[in-house]
Amino acid sequence: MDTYFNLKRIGYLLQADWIEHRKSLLLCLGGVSLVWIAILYFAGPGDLATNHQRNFFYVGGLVTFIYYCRFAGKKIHQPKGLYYTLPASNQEKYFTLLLEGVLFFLAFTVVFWVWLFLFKLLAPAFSVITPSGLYDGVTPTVLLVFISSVILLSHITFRKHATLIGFTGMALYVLLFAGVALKIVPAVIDGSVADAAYLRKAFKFMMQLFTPVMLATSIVVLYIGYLKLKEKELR
Amino acid sequence: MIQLTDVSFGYRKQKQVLHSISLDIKPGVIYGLLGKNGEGKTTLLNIMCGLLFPDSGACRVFGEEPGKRNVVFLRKIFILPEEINLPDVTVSDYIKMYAPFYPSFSDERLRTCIDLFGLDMGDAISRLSLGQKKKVAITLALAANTPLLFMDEPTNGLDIPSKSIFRKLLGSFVREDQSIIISTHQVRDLESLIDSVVILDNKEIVFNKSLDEISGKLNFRTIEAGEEALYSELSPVGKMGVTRNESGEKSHVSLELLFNATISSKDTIKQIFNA
Repeated sequence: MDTYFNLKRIGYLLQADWIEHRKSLLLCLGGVSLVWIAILYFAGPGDLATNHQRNFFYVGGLVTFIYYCRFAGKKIHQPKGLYYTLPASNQEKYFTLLLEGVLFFLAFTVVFWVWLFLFKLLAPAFSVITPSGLYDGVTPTVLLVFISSVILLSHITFRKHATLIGFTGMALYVLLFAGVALKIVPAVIDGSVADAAYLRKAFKFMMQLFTPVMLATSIVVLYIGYLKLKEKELR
Repeated sequence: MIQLTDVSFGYRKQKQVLHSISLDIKPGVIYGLLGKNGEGKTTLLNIMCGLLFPDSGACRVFGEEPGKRNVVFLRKIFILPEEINLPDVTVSDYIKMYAPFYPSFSDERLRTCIDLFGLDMGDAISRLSLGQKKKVAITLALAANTPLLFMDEPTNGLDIPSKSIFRKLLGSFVREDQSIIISTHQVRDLESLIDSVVILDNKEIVFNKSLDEISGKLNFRTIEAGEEALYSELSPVGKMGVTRNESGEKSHVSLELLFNATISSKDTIKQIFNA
């Protein structure tokens, strides 16, 4: 018997969560569907339709993510901690938690595309956004993964105000980054730094590295999330 | 089964709840963990099942470190907390959620508990009373059939007939290789079940003896006027108390009197049992 990672136990964890949350999940999906139908109906088939679709996808994605984080936080900070004494390894519990995040997002995506194509079927003049119209490239996607992993970590670590703490931490990080950039960039532009060419090269190099570094950082943040789950106590 | 060696724990650095606790829990025994409010009974249970990590000392359960919460260890234990927090599902779904995790889960035990407690598998848990919810939680705890079962105040919230059913179920289900540790204030509810008594006082374990040893060394009886006792209190049937057992005749152990005697005359009780 594999005591560290067993798909059967992951199945049990998913099944337990499905039994417990199916009602609220289906209600949420129903709510999302209603909002989405209303937006599609009132926005109509005009030129701005695809813009509205794009905005709904991003806002809906964010709401789905916050809902997921609250779900994960509730599970991890259960008052009596029975989640921790369930016979499944920490790895299995964490993997299931991450998998559920993917499943939540998939469910939202399915609702998004199903209603969109139903509208298109009913009104062929209706302009529909393409999947590529929602995709902004690798770097913004990786940046989203990074932000999501930090917010999730915040929900795993803090029982209360986790979203606020996560976004505050992120804002401080951006301010720090902007502060450093504001110091360096003007100096590079007006040539007041002795070796501006070197700084320019370094800046370019950093920009090239941005995506892999962000991806690596996201993986590290997710690993810290795992350690936090593993070390969680009922204090 | 469980070995605790010099375990200390505090929720804050300056304030210890448990100090240098050493304890050896044997299989096939039902332990009663007694102590005043806030003495650390729940904390001790949580350390033994890996929900809290000791600040110092070692805790081993089935040779494993509970804090690692590995599958092999978790499959062998079940904890029934005092305040239960059940999901908003039916009784049947609740069992379906957790039963697959326990290879030792017994359908026969489940049916017996459901029948005796008078539960309906189709009932929504959110509509049940506190006592009914407790019965559902106890049902899962007993049906999981794990070698080690921790119960924190299991009879809290149960009505009188249910307490009796609980005793009956626990008494009939316990196996030779199974240990049950029950933390309780309501000693009278479980007096007939407990084989061994552990008393926590002032951050330490001040008493850990089997009922056989206790009845061999102490007598629990009516105290005559002028007679000296280790502890005595007035009751409707006269003055009841604890004395040394000098005759060798065994009496029924009153856990309430034993607890009060141990707390009030700790050193004398220690001397008697060490002699």
